[in-house]
Amino acid sequence: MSSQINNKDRMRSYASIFSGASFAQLLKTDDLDFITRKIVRYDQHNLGKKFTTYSEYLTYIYNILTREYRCEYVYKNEIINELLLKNYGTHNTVVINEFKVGNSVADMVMFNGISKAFEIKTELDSDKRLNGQLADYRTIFKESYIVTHESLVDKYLNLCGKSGLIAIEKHGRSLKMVEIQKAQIEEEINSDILMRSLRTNEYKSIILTYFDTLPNVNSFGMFNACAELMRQIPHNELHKLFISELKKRDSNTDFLKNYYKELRQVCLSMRINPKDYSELSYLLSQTISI
Amino acid sequence: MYYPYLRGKQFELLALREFASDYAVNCQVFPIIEPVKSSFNSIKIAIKKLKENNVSFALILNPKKGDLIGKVDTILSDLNDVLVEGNWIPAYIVEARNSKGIFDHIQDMKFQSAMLICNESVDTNQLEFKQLLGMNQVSKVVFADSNRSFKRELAKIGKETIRLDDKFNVQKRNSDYISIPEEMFSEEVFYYKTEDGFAGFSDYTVLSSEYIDGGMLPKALAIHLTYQKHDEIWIRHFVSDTNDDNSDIQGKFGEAAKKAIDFFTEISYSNQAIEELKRYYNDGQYPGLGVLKKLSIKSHLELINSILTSTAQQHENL
Repeated sequence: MSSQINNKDRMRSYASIFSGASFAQLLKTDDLDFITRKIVRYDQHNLGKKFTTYSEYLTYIYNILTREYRCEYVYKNEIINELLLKNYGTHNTVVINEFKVGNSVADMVMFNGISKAFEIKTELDSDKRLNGQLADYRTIFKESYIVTHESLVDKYLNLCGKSGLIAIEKHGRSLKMVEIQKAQIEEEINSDILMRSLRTNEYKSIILTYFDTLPNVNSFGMFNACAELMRQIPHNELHKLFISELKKRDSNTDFLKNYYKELRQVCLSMRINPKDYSELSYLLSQTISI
Repeated sequence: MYYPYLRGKQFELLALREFASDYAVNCQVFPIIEPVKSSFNSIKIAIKKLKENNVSFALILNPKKGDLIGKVDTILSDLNDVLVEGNWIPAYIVEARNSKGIFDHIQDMKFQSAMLICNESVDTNQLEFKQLLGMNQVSKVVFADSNRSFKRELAKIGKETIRLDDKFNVQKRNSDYISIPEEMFSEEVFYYKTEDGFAGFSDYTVLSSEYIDGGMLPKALAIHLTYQKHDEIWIRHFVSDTNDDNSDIQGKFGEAAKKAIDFFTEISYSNQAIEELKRYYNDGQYPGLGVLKKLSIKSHLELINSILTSTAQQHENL
C-alpha cells in the first residue's frame, strides 16, 4: 500500500517538471536544479544506463507518465503531437491554451478552416462542470470535443451530447488519438459571449472588416458600440471573421514541430521562439551532473 | 524627508523618473529602491534621471524579493556606469543573521555612508548587529516604529532614524474597495519630526508591501489616490461600476476615472499626475493598468513633497 502511495507522489512529482514557470526560470538562470532534484530523489540508479543527458531524462519520465499517470500535460502534449502535427498540420492552424469562453476556460482551442474547442477529462478529473463547459464552448466554437482516457469512453459517450469524443489510447509504446464520435457542427454563434473572449484590437478589427468603419465613440464607449454592431453580423459570417481574426494571434504553432516532442506543450504555453528554444535545447543536451 | 520604499519595477521607476524631473528644485523625497528585475534597462534610465535632477536615493544591495536575491555583485557591476558618488547611498536589509556580512561588505567596498533597513527579525542586542550599527559609515537607519528602546539608542549614537510603516490597506479584490470609498492613510508627514523625533519617514507608498510580480486582468478597476484632509493624509479608491467580468477594461477605466476627476475638482486639488489622468479621460484614451499605478504613486509623491516643502518654508519664515 505505502509503495503505491509513494508511486503516486513520484508521478505527481514527475508531472510537475513539465511546467512553463520552471522552464521560464531555466531560461533565465540556466539552473537545471528542478530536474536534478528529481533524478537524485528517484532515478539516480538509472543514471548512465537509461539516460545520460537532461533531455534523455525528460523523455524517460515522459514515457513513464504516458504509461502510469496520464496527467493533463500528457493530454495537451499529445493533442499537439497527434492531432495538430499529424492530422491538421501547423501551416494554417493556430492553437491556443486556456481560452476563456463565457464562464469557462477551454483547455485548448484550434483555428484552421474551422474552430474547435477541447475539454480534457483525465482519469483524475471530475465531470462535475462538464455540461456547463461544453455549453459555453458551443456558444462560439463550431466543434467541441471531450478528450479522455480509453477506459472512460463509455461514460463520456453518455455525457457528450452534441460534442465529439476523442479517446487517448496506448498503441504499443506510443499514444494515439482516436475519434470515437464526431462533433456536430454548430451554426449559430453568440456575439455577446464572443465579444468577451476577444481582445480589444480583435473585436475592433472584426467590426472594421465587416462594416468598413468603426463606431464614432471614444474608447470608453467602444465595447458597447461594437457589441451592438456585432449582433447584426450574420452567424456564418461572424464564424469566419472570428476564425480569421484568431489566426492572426501571435503564436508559435508553426515552430512546434521542430521542438522536442515531450516539451511541445511547455513550449506552446511559454510561446517560446526558435532563438530561446535553441538555448533551451542546448541546456538540456548537457550531460547530467550530480 | 520622505523615504518612499519602491521595488524597481517598470512603472514604479517611471513614477520616480517623472517625479524627479518635475520636482528637482526643493525635493523632499529620498527614494529607497529595491532592485528586483534581472533586466537593468529601466532602473538605469531612472537612476540617470535622478542624478540629472540631483535627487538622492538609496539602492538596496541585498534585495529580498525578485530576480536579484543574493546578486550583489551583478547589481553593482550592471549599474556601475550610472551610479555616481554623492548621489546615492547603498542600503542593506538587515535580518537575524546577516550583520557581519553587511559589515564586511561596507568595509570591502569602502562606502562612505550607508543605510540599514532593519526588518523585524533583527535582535537589536546582538553583538554583530551592534558592531554594524556602530560603524561611522552607517548614517541612516530605517526600522518599524514599534521598537522604542532601539529608537532611543539610535538617537544617542547620532544616527538619522527613519520610521517604516506599511500603510496601504490591501483588499483581496478590487471590488472590495467599493465598500471603503475612503480611509485614513497616514499622518507621519505632519508629526514625524516635531512630535515623534524622527529624521524621516518611510512607507511603501500606495502599494502593498508584499512583492507581487505580474497579475491578471481584474473584473473591477480601481484607482487609488491620496489627498490631504485636515492634518491627515487620506486615500480614496475610485472603482468602476460594471464589474461582472473582465471584459471592456476601457469602459471600466472611464467609469473610475470620472469619479476620481469629479472628486478632485470638488476639493480643488490637483497635481501633475491628476492632470495626466484628466488628459486620458478627456481624450477618451485608456492608458493601461501600469500607467494607472504610476499615476497613483506619482500623485502621492507630489502630495507629500508639497506638504514637506511648504512646512519647510514655514519654518524658514519663523
